[in-house]
Amino acid sequence: MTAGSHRGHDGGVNVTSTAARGFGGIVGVPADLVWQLTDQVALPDRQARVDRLLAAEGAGHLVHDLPVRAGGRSSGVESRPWRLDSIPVVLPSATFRWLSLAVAERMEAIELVLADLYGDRELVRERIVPAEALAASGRYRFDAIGTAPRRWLSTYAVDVVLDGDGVWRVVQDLTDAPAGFGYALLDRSVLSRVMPDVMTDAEVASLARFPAALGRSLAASSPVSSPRIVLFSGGLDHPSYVDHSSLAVQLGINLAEGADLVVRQRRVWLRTLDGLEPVDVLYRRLEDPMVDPLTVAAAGSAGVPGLLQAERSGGLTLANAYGSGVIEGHDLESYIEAAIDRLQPLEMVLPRLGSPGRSLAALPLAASSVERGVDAAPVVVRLFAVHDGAGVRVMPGGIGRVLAPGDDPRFPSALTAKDVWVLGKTTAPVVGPRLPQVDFGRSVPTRAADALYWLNRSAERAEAMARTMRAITSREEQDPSLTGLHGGDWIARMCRIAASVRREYVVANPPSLDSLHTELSKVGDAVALEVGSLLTGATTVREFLSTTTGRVLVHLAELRQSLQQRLTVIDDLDSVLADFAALAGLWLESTVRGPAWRIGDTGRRLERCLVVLDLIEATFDRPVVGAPDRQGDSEADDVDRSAVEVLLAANESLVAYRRRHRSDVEQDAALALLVRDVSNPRSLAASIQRLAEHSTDGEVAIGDDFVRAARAALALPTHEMVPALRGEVLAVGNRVVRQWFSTPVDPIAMGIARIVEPSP
Amino acid sequence: MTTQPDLSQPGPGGTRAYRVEHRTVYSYGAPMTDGYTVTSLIPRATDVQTVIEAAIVLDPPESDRDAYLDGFNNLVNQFGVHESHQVLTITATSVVALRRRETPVDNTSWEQVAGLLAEATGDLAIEAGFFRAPSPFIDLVELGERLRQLAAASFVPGRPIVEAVGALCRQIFAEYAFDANFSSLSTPLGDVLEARRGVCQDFAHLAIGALRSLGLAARYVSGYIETMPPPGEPRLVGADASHAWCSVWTPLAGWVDFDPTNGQLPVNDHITVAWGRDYADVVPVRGVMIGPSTDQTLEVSVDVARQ
Repeated sequence: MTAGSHRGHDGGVNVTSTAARGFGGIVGVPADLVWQLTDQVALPDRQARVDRLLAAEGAGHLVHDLPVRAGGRSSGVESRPWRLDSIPVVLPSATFRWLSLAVAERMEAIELVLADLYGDRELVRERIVPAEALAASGRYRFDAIGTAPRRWLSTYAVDVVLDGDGVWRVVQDLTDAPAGFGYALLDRSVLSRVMPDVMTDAEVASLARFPAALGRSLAASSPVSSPRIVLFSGGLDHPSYVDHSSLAVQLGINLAEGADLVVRQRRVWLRTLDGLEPVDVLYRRLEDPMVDPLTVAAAGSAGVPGLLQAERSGGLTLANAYGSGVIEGHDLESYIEAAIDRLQPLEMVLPRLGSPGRSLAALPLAASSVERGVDAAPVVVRLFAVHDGAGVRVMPGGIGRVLAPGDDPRFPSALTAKDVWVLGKTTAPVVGPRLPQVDFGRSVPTRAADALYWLNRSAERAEAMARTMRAITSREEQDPSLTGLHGGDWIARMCRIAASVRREYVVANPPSLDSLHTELSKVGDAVALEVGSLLTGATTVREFLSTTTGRVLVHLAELRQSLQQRLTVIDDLDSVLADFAALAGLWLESTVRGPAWRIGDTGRRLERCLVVLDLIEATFDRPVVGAPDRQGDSEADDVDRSAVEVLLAANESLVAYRRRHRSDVEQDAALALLVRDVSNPRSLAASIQRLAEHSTDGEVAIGDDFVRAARAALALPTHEMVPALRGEVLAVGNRVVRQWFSTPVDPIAMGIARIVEPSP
Repeated sequence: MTTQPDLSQPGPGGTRAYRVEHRTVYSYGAPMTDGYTVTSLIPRATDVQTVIEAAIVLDPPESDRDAYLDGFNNLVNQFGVHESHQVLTITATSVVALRRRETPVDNTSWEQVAGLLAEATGDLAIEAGFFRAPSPFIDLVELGERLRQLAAASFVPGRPIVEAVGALCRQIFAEYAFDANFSSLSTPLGDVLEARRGVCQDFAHLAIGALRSLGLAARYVSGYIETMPPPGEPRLVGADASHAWCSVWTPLAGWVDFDPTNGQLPVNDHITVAWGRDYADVVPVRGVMIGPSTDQTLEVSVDVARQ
């Protein structure tokens, strides 16, 4: 443990020696638990597992370095991965009990302050909170004056630190859109897998009931008896998107972005495949300038136009209510404290941290978590509370964020997080009415449908590209003599096939071994790109994908790195292919058959048709120039055979072919297997069969017309079949996109007129 | 409800009636599916102004219409248009009766007024307090010192508040040039201070900033003014425009309006629509549209006619 103290260079935090004060200044942590948590032998392995699991659980945050999102929109967010320290902040039950009472009391007092600031404004009249300070804060919302929501705060968070004298102090209140509930649950699920025994022995309070309590709080904020709740997120581009999506999964509610929501007749509606569905409560995870572009404080055109009017007229509950963020106004701190004293003096006082320079208690860190040589640092602890209509519930846990020397405690620079453990079964089991059940299986927001459709198309195309690459590479490795066959004809054919699978139909370079390798590395890049859009799409629809799917996606994200560095190693390709197989299997076996599944599957089958058509066309498109007369040429026959083998392997049909024919591959039999054989799941006929099944479901835009036309095309000779069927598939693909996904468009700001009355 | 005055005769004390038509036309590059607008177009009632009739008509017609009072008790109308449209026309028509404003009298020194406001409690704290702080278009933190310098020439020590405000109003009128081509909505107030040119909105912001920098309470007033054609020429219909001026709080005369663009205290040709901290609170028409094109043009025509 670090002895002595160090002073922050910007007059920031001081750290006092805490070795003598138990667990980093928190009195009452059992010695054997301290020993177990700081065991130098176990720590390195434990930290490695924490790192690995966090990456797996927080799949989304890995994805933040991806270049594109579904639909080709670029994502401007840089990855800010955080690290979870394997040593938690441990709060003995007595400490937490006191803290939770103080937090509950504080939340209730702030509720009263908000109600007054936007209601009677006695605090302003008495000059306890001066109007000038409110206006200057930039956080007071004039368009919220006179609104009277059922509750201002459904959720609340407060950052606290332990000072050198053992006093817990408030760093800041978070009342606008308190972030971190999702992270807290995520961190806990990681540590509970790394140290289950330690956690059980120490009787660490479980967080398992908290999502339900949060759900009840959101429900209680609405006058509707079984309200439909939707989490309102800024989408993938929001820095806390992982927090949002993991919470949506935990709460079992839809996540919506602005363009998914629409206001009509003072109500908010979610765009789904079944049309507009009413929303009663928006659990907003966006700061208030982002919710409605029609508000005076709106930041540009982001948000849902008319949302505030829906709230104002009672058709919608915003949780937290619009305007709650005023409590966060930095220059208002002392006025808010005075307002609390005026309206509801606290019995359990959490004093403000106040001016910088106060010494803070250092809590132990796993070695090298922050910087080499530091094994203890002050930690800001964020505690979370909800109000479920009956009273305040404080989550028995939280998130800790490690402060680096000189940090402003409101903005820790070191991206190291800590789980917060509360010892002892301090909290009574939360009992209450059951959450209303809504059939979310049926509601698919159109944006989610869009993402599911495209991510399946990406998965199918990427898989075909990787398999083609593997088929060509392995043949070249096993039989280098192929490259010399028939005047380089084999190379030319392989170049053509490799190009076609990444939708490039003309090969410019003269056939040479170098140009083949160039083609193959382009395929590798294209796989990486498709995997990128697949992961981006998947991140936006986490609530529709299983946890196991998340793990596979994380693995793919890691492999994506090696794909970009010219991947020709067969092992790597096999590993990518295994992930694709796992994804396809999970899609088939672990996804509820509903509209979401059907839309994704439609995308997959349409893409599969296109892949097979591209590869058939490339395989039988023999270059004319430079090819000697083929008649009776055994080298030319070898090239043909090899090309057909690659075609079958690329479509995962080579094994099926061999089982059936037990002979060398032969062109007509191979075509029959890929085109008309319904028993081969990779065949065009099988894909069309599946699309025909989807066409009977109401929401799908694939009609019987397509099925009839596609089947007619299948009967044509190959050279006519390919363009005819491709035309049908592309047309139906366009129709699907137009019908399902065309509506949500972000609002555009209208111009405003300058006031230019000329002087007379 | 107020009794409707007889408009056929000049009213007692110089009452006048005006009919105002304010038309805003948005034209887009392609048909839009939705348009959402928030408007501040209906004149509010004041001590000297009675609103006789007021209406807003949209073409194409709106599907959703809401009306509410904002934080400063202005009437706000909000519209949702949900039929395809490439042109959106918003026409506000109102008839108001204006009584002649009395010459404000208040000899309290401006320092005393600032002192009163600094300790104001009760309703005054709410009525004036919000108008003493920085606001979106008026950055007192950045410009405070320069605005104080601007005000210093008129606000000499001990000068009565109304007299000082009148002097500031004439000072801006004399020292600043009206130039519709100099500034735009995004021109910072600092640039207007520097170049000494701008439009009425800039001058209003300037005067408000100068007053607030002294600790006084000043608000932005949005409205219209009757303009007269040059002698011998006919009045051009639709050639008028929106106007903006200021109002300052005084202990004895209440809120006193003044118009730095015209260097005068309004008498009976200023029609008040709404007031706020600055332009951002009372934009006549703002909103968002949803559709395939970001191309748009905006045309505004205003006609102020004496009845």
